[in-house]
Amino acid sequence: MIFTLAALVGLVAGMIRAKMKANTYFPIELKYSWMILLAFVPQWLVFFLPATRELVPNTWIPFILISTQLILLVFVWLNRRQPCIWLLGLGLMFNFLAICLNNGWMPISPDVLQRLQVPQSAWQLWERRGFSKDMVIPVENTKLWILSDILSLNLYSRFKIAFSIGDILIAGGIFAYFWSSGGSKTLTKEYQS
Amino acid sequence: MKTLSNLQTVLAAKVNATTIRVIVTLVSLVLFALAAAAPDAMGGVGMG
Repeated sequence: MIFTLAALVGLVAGMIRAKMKANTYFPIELKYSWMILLAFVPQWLVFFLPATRELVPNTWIPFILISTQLILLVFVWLNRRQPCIWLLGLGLMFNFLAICLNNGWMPISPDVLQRLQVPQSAWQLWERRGFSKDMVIPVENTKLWILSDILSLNLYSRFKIAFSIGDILIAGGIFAYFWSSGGSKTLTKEYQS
Repeated sequence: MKTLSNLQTVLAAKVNATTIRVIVTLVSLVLFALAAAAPDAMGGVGMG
């Protein structure tokens, strides 16, 4: 929900910006978008789709997570000239580093779970947290702890989220991408051609 | 009249192109975020 919100808010802000500059809003094209789908589909089957995620053994997760994020890193590199892609890439790189250095899992510490008032029966040390990308790892055993899921948002009982600095950069990158699409005069030229 | 009709066709095509580009970019970036990010949502509302 937060990423969709970041995209929609960025889109509206970019459209208002384009209108103020008397430009036509036209999002800058992302090249090789099919690579996003290539990376997302395996993750959708493993993390999101209830019918399949229960069938995938935990031993496969690190391989799937690292290989799909590698595809996204290639995608970012191929689109590196597009505005604000560097922000998405930096966020992805931060998460990728944290995951790679912690055996293919995003670490989450017991402290963060306690801060979010997650009942102790819902997690166990050195176990995967539900069907997420997270593994509960003590802080002292976490490599590059600062890039793991150290931040938390506990607005109400149905909105409890642990997230990383990389996640913030990704949300910011999405907003900035749509925002920047409303400001360039070259976009109008592209639209007209 | 013919010119007006042509203009209308061109305008319709451009509006469609804009809408399609917005939707494709929106979906692409949200899917990118879902695959690149690693939040842990514990309530009913997720990060997607």
